[in-house]
Amino acid sequence: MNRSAAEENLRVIRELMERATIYRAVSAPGALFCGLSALLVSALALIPGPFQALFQHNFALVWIVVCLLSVTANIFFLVRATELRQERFASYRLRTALLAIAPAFIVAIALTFFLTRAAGTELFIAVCWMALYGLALLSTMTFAPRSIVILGWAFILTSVLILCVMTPVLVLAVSDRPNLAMEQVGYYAMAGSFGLYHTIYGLIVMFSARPDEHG
Amino acid sequence: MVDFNKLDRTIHEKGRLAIMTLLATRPRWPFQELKSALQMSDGNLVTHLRTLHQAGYVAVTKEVADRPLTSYSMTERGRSAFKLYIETLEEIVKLGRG
Repeated sequence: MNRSAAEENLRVIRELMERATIYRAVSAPGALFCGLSALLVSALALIPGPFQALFQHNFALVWIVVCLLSVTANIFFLVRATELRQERFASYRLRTALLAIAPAFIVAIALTFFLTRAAGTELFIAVCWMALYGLALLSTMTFAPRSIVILGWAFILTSVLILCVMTPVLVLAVSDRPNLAMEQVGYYAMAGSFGLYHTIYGLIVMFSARPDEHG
Repeated sequence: MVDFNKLDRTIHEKGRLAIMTLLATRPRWPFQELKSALQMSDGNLVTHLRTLHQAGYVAVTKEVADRPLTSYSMTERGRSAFKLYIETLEEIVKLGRG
């Protein structure tokens, strides 16, 4: 065996090992469902209409419902993708992904309980969700495809940007214009992050990856 | 000087090398997942797995839950042989760089 053949074998081994450990915890159609739901809910809350008052007064509840529906949709699409690949849904890769994202989700639940007790915290709740969701995605970095890592960083950077730059501006804007309430700003933040980012991610992955890789 | 006899002929075959590589990444691989990852036919995969099993490199677990499930894992002997195989390849590459 010569050097180039040995190198080729080592390359095959490395590529197979990398491919075997990659897992997409957020399916493309699941992300699209989440993104479009977030945009729809934000539109209903921000555009004057029959749902506006109801949605604005129940910010956390509305988004918890959207989150639960999105998780259900994601599970459905992940199951469908594993069936396409003729794999078991409760795979080693799924367990590893769940263990990686669990800490961030537990903190998010605790912070939601804490922050919803005070009024006017909608934007901060949105920022916490963005940051912790981004951390959850990045905690799968070692076995996630590049698109998930980019999505995670987008959430982290957006939350940091809002905290560092935009919050003082937004607080001033709200005090100057009493009709621009914190819950409205919270809806804008959720639409721009969870709505827009998931829609873009979902569309890009659906059009660039193989159908059995969408899961 | 590289001892080419160290290059395990059982692992060196392309299909079996791919199987051993995947088995090295997780504790257990169900048959269907291996087949899907390697894009091999049932017959081809079964033949290679049998060869690796006979060499003592692969262990087989058969379960019956809702349906029969056969899983494969790498034995300690298999892990040592795979490690030695990679080390030998690395030696060849180093020697080539000379």
